Amino acid sequence: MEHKINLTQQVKTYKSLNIHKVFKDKMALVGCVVLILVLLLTAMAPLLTRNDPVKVDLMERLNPPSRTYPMGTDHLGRCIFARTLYGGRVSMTIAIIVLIIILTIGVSIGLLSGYMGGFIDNFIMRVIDILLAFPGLILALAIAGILGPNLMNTMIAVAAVQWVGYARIVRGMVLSIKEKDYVKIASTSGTSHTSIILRHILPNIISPIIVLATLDVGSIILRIAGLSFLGLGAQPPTPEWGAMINDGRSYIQTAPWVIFFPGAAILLVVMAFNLIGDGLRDLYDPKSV
Amino acid sequence: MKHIVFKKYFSLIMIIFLMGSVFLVGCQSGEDIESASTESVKSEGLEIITPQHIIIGEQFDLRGYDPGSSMSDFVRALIYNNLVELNMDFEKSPGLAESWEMSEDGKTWTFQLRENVLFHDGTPWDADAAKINLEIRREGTGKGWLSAVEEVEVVNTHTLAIHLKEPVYTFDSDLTPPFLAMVSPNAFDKEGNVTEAIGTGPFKLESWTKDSEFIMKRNEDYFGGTPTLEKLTFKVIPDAETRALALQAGEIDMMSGREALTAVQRLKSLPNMKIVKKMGQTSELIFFNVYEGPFEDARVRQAVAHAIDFNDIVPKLLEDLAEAPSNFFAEAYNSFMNNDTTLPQYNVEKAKSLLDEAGWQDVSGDGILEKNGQQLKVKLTLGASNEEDKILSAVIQNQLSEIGIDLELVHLESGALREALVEKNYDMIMIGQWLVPHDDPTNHYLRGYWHSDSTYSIYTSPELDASIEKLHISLDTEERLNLHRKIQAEILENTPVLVVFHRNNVMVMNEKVENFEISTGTWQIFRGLVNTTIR
Repeated sequence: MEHKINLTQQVKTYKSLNIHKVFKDKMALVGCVVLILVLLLTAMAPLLTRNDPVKVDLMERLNPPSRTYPMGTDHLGRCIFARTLYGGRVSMTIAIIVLIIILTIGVSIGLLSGYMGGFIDNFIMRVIDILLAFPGLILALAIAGILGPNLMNTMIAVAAVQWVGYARIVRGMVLSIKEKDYVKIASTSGTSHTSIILRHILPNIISPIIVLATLDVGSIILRIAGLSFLGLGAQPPTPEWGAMINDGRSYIQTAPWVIFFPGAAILLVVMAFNLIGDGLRDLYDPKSV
Repeated sequence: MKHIVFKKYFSLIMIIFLMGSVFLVGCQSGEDIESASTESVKSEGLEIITPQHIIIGEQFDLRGYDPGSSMSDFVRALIYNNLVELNMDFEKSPGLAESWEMSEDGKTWTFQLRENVLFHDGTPWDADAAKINLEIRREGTGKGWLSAVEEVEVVNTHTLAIHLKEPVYTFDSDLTPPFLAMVSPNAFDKEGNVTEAIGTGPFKLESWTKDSEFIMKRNEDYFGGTPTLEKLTFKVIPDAETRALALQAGEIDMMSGREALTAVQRLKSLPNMKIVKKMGQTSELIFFNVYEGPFEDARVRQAVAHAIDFNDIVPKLLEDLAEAPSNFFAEAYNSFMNNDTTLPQYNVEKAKSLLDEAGWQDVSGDGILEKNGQQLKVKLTLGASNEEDKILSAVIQNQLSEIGIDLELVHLESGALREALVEKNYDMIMIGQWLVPHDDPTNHYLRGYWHSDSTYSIYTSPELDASIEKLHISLDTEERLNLHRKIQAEILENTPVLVVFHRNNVMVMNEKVENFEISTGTWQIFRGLVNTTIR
């Protein structure tokens, strides 16, 4: 009885602290502001620049930043400002889509594996062990290489590698929640498996998953940029940060702005996501309460 | 909580500090280089005799001793000689044979060999050595080139007669590629493999550290005159940017501009660098798949030809590394070319009307043309590691979108690219014009792209086949020239190919390297080192 009261109290303090704590964690706030700013900028790209991100103009090659080209031009005379903004749309949309795919696959397989137990659990876990034993990037490279270079296949490659971690974590959490009294009671009172999973287990694991996902967006963006840098992701003339860095790589000494701006964009966005993720983790971490 | 915030600020400061220190270190090393170079200038002022030793940054390792197979294409001509050679201007000139003549029926070639020539190991060069070499090459790596050889006959110590099964007018040219170079008979083992690099060339191989460097000493007894340079060190640096940085830092004296587009563009602007260049023998081409897809229609091919402004984009994007296309072949083949033919000129209006004529119209208004409900979407396949093609393809994509063609770029590794070419797995393919290894382009038609028997055939017709076969057996100079011109005119008329650019041979070097003459032939590129000096 005493224990239960304690629990309810804890939950209360949790909720009342939330908003307050978000504002107290300055780094997470910085992350939020940066991310919102970047999202706004990319969303308003057509309003901010009239330059076409794929228009080639050989008279304007490798121009330094100027009034018409706020971030300069690349080796084909394309406006880097426009390319960075439109590239942000591509990079972030893809990252979000990949994340949704990963979450769907990872969470459902983790739930299945943890809840069912037995042979299915064993089988799934061994498959995951095998996948985890491969170095992730190399596996993604191999998949993208076999499927052929384009954005769709890059998404498949990244998702195919990244879902494994989620499945494992979700399974672990399900295993512990499964043993809780309220799940056992629900089970004995005849609640169906589906509703136990959806009503009693899923709500209890969703918040740590959100934290994990926020932390992961950064690494997904990096991985996609990495594959694009290697020529396996976005194909020309699609603007994409990783591909832009690859284009400008050879001009790093003569025209550093070609790689600086997309590089800085990746840095900012990944950092923002990581800071927010860190903040969220602190928020949900019982130890810090 | 406070503790965590502090940790975050602390790590942020650490990151900034680290990044700052990287910049500082970068500046520091720059100063070091500068001071080192001023010191060397000072020591030159004391007029110490400069050692005639040059360090060259090379993309490829030596790879092996056999000029016929393993050895890097570019350094063979330093160690070995051929019976007949191509000089700096890509003309046939005496190599290890002083003179040669073809019999009336074109089936016997007699070579007068150069006398008093020794291999690097002291073995004398004579007709027996030549026979051993040719016999081994016939069975091995020279099979395709020496297929017509019936018998190699030693007439006397310095006279060699080669009997052919059928008349070959270009047999002397066929002997010039570096993979038919003459190796000392002692260097062959029983299976005909070359175990040591022993040739007659201007330099002897001194040592070779795999994937690191190989060193050559001059051959004091070289029949073409002793080279001024005493020693050549080739440092193997595969990456062009790294090579360029090494040249900038003074670690190497010279590098080839091959596959180093941006590096050359950057080095050119530095004060103590110079560039030596000359139009080479090879060109870059785009082939159309004339057998299926939209390019089956010659008008669509011609439209593409008129829509790309090579004369504008090639000099702007490739600068010293290439010249805008002027004709079917590079200038090196001027004497075989048809000067009445011209390449299609840039004319967007004409391109648009050609497409319209062919039935392609923009019905949906999305900027891409359609015909029978099908959009005009084509693929351009190109080499993934070819910087020049990559940068040009992006502009071609843009220029074709202006006439309503949606071009997708497909980057393939070189093996896959060749496979795509053979299997006709492309709409357009951008590729180097290989199969022009020497000064006579006859083989280019038959074994290359224009005869129906070839593995790589791009466009063929019965008339074209007949002309090419006639060219191969003809012994009359006048008739041969007319056939060359007729073949080229017929190919160009049907537009199965676009000439993208003619490749330049480029060498970038420190100012102290003097008298380096560059060759037209790609494989003779380092021969110019024979007369080079260091100031």
